[in-house]
Amino acid sequence: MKEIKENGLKIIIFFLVGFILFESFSNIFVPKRFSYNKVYDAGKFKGYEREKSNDIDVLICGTSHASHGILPMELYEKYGIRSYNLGTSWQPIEATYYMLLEALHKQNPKIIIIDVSALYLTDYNEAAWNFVLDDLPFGGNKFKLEECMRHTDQENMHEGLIPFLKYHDRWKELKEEDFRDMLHISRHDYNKGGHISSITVKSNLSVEVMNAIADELQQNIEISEWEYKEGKDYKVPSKEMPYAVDVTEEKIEWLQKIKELCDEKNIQCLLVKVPVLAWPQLYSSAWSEAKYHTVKEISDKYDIVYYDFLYEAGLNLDYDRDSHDGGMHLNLSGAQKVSENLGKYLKEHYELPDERNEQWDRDLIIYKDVRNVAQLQLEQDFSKYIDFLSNNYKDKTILITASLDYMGLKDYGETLRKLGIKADFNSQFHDAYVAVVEGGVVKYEALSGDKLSYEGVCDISREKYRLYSSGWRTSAGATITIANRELANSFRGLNIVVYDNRKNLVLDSVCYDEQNNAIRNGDLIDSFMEGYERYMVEMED
Amino acid sequence: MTYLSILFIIFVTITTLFYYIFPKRIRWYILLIASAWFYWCAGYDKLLIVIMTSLVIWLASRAISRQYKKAEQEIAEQGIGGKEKAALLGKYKRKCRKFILIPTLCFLVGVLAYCKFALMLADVLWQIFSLDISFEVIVPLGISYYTFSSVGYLLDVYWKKAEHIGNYFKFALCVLYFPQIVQGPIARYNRLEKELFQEHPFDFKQICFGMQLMLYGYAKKMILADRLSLYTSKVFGNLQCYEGLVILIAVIASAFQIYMDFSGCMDIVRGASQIFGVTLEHNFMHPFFSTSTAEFWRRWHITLGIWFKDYVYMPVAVSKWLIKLITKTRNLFGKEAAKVVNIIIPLLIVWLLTGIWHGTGWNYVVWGLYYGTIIICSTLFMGQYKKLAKLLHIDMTKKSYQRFQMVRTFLVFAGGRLIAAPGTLTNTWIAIKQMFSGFNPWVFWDGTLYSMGLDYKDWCVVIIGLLLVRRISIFQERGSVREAIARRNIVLRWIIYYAAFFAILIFGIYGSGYNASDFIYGNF
Repeated sequence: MKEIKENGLKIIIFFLVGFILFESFSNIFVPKRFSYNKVYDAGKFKGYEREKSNDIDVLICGTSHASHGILPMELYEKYGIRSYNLGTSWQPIEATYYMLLEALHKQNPKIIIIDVSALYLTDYNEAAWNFVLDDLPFGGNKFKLEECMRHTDQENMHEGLIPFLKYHDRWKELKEEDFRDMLHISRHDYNKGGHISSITVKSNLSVEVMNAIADELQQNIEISEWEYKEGKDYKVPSKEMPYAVDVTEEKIEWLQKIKELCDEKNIQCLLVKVPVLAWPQLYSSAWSEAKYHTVKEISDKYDIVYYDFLYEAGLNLDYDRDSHDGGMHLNLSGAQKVSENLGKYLKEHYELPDERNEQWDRDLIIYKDVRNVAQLQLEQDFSKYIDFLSNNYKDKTILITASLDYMGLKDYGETLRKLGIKADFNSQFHDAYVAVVEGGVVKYEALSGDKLSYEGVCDISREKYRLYSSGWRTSAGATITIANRELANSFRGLNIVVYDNRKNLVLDSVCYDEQNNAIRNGDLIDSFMEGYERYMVEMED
Repeated sequence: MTYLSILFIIFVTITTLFYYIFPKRIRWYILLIASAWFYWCAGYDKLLIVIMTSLVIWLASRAISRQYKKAEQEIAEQGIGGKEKAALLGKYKRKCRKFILIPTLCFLVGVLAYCKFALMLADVLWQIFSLDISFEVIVPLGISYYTFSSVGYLLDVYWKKAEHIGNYFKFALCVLYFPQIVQGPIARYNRLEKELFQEHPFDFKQICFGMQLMLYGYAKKMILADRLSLYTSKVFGNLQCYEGLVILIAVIASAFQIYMDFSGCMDIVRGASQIFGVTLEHNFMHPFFSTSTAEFWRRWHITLGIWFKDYVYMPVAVSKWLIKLITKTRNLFGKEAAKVVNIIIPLLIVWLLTGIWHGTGWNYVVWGLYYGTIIICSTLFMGQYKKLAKLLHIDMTKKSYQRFQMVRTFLVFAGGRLIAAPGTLTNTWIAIKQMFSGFNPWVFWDGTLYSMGLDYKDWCVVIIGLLLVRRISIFQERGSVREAIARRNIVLRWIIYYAAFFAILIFGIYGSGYNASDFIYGNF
């Protein structure tokens, strides 16, 4: 006893310091997920926790389709509806339920929107469970969700409750941001969980063909060749794959639980389906009309309102422009259409007042700024792109190099005048060209039959940039580097890099070829967008 | 419940709390209840078996003890001495041997043999006679360890080297004592009895030292042993796919792996025991510092070596039949031949049994004979070896020669791993063939080594860890590392403790494992 008394204080301090160190390490090792991550949809609840109490009228839950497809700030901008998107990649409906239980501690929404993709989510994806589990605060709901997740793996049950033990293996991949963000596990999210995608990947599928394949699959017929209405012959993999249209009893039970929760809290429950266009034999998430009817029956049976954006809303989605991965998920353009339609639907069918406040208005300003950048990245047409630059990005640094062949820059010459470019492209072709436009002024430009190279330093950020261009005669090539990072797409054509001097962020890198096609590197664009959003979030926090 | 589980840590913590809350004289009850519960977690049927077994042993030792008391009573009553006394004692001893000791030992060894070999025998019967005998064998936790401890106890009581433990529950605690039941050390119950039932006061320093020792054990086991096993299991599981240095490295890694695994577990159990004030015997004393194979086995699994020495080697060495054989050999072939027989027979028996104790396959028999042969040869040819060294002007007292001896001893041990680690003799042969089928030093830099369970960072952890353990072992040879740390200032001490703790949490191999590529993008 005497020894305990003598050493008692030491013991307490030892465990206290140990606890602090444990929490610090935990914060370092837990993956830093936030809504601006482009690889997956996660980190939503951490931003949600930072919202003021009772400040949200609509909660949106579901898989990545919902996360990509519905933008809360679009709803707020046009209709004054305050919503939060808690959709995460592969979100199991069980996770939705427990997440809602936790979410309703702080907010009292009028409507909960559930995207019904999760009803067909039968594959087990542990990472997806963790996207929700890791964000929940320590407590009963987290424990129950962990139990749900690990029903066959009791030995590692504690890992979900102590994330450090789950993620200790990350020691090999720790980066600067893991240490930098250790004190910022949660941040205020101006985007309210929305996912902005600024990439366009065209789809080679139509809704009609998708439904035809789905019907065939249900009859278990082998698929070999198809002819489409457009007159194209298109070979698809001949693969017999069951395409499930029925929803399992287990999933319906969870849906019922969510409905009961909503009834208990006097919240309206709305089921939706964000459009998904995909090959049914490859992706079980392909949204066929058969599935729509199945869910319609379920919703009627359990008296839940259901609104399908693909088969009921009459949306005019253009899958050449509105999707970021060929139809599976929507990009900003597609999400704006869905959000607009949803906002209109909510206003018509529910009593949702137009409620605006200062915080949300500030967030809207940031959102518009970010949206501008996304729209720049989405712009395909050269003329519109230069218009955009000259109207909205005059204060930025624009770096241009040409890697041309027989066409030369003749077609682009006049349009480039809007940026103040003076070079006469009509008289020459097959040439090299470099230009720097900074703050609306052409700082440097050169046109030559020989190779061209130019180095400079950005006005405000003091970052070094380097331009290189080589025409047809000296083997075509182009380079644009900022701080030694290669940014040009280097295809045949005109390379343009837009750089925000003040924020020290690259906003866009595009190459326009001789046919006026905009070529972008998707991964690079994602990194630009993520960097920009991250900057805005950190600045606001 | 394994020693590596969080449940075990919680279990030790709760047991410690109850242990020190209750009065000293009844603390052993807490240990008994805790040990019984620990064993219960392994299965109530296994607990029943070990309780029944311990009851049989206790009754046998009581019976022997009573016979001896009867003999002493008779001697006292009759007032006899000298040869008559010896004859009377001999009579009782023979009675004990014939009716108590031998049947009980047969029972104990029989149960052990059944658990170890029954399924193997059924397999052999199926292969030879197509006899389909399917049954389940319940193998009690730590049966090899408590059987040996119990055999030793019974023999000690028979030989009057130890007293019978009068209270059955105290005896049961000696058998079931949870820190040692699973992997040893093999206890001498009369010594353990003194430790367990001594009234240990609350000693903060001992508790801290115990926890520190556990920490060291967990580090060796979880950071090094389990990490090395990722590589060795991959190689030994697919021997045909690898050759040359890849297999050699696996053999060497396996040597370190088994040491870290076994000694790590020993540190955990000794540390846990120290928390209760109970000191368990050392089982490892830095065996890789040994300069000969004989010395190695005096430093590796020490309690097993001592057990075989006391209960197999010595009895065989002084047995009548061996003495007869030696005498006959001397008469027929001379003194030298008799000396050889005297050395070979007991060692061969010991090592054969050691091999069988370690595993059930033929590879373990070969393994035992391998070590037996090496130790026998080194004993027999010691003189010739010294002459050769003198001839070659090798100074055997120099440090460089001792280092050579350590490396040589390690390679002998690695050779033993080559027999045991692949699992069967066939696989051992494949391993040897593959190892010598090519010389491929490029595996160190072409990425081969980093794609077999351990990447470059893992190997760095292994090498740094091994160097650290070596340094600590050198310190331990000179004195107590824990005492040395305890003498330092509080800041440095705490840094060391926190560093060890978090090193285990970060670098330990445990849990379901996180893989960034586990997330399947797309579809949903």
